[in-house]
Amino acid sequence: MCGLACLKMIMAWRGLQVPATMRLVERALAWKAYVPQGDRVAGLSYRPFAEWVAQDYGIAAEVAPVLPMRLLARLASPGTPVIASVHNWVRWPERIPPERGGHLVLVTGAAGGLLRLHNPSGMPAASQRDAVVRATDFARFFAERGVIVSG
Amino acid sequence: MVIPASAVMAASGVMAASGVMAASGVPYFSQWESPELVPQFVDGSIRPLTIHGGPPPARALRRSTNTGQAKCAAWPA
Repeated sequence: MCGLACLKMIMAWRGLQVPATMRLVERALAWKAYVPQGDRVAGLSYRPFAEWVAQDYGIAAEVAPVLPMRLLARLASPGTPVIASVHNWVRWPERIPPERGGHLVLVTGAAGGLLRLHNPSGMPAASQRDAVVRATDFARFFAERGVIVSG
Repeated sequence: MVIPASAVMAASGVMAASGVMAASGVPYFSQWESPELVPQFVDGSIRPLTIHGGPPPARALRRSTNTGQAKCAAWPA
């Protein structure tokens, strides 16, 4: 539910009413942003997600199947956050992840070789809210794809 | 013993938002429904319920592939 947690953050920033997670799950399933797969759902599909949030909430989201680090760093801000695909070990930035991607975080800024992000699965009081990670560390986790939320 | 959050962050490579990277002002939502259970989720001793109810099978999660999707593997495989 990391993508939906990111969506809730974006909606709250915009002053929109934030629905309950299960309500968002229902809508995500209806739009096929989530697709049932056995007893769980497959990961968030970006294009239906973008279509859904545009239609339901007026949020302009651009799918970026290729998103280089430098572009992420240039674009990300509180008003233009980027939902970035990272390995979930990004909560421990010093680690070497076995692969990249698979988990979503909300990147809200970059400066001086650092990235600032909200991690829905970060550790409380350590790596959740406004976590600041070196860009060089972040790059080890980042699959260089995501969703740019611009308007 | 209570370990200060700043010490945890420093040890983990996560830095406090300050200076050029001041707080964003963006509200935060956790995907953890029960924050007190975070350690168990992280160490894999318990796993989230699925939207269809009931616990998922006790098997490792599939590894992600570069398919333009994110699987939100919020707990270690």
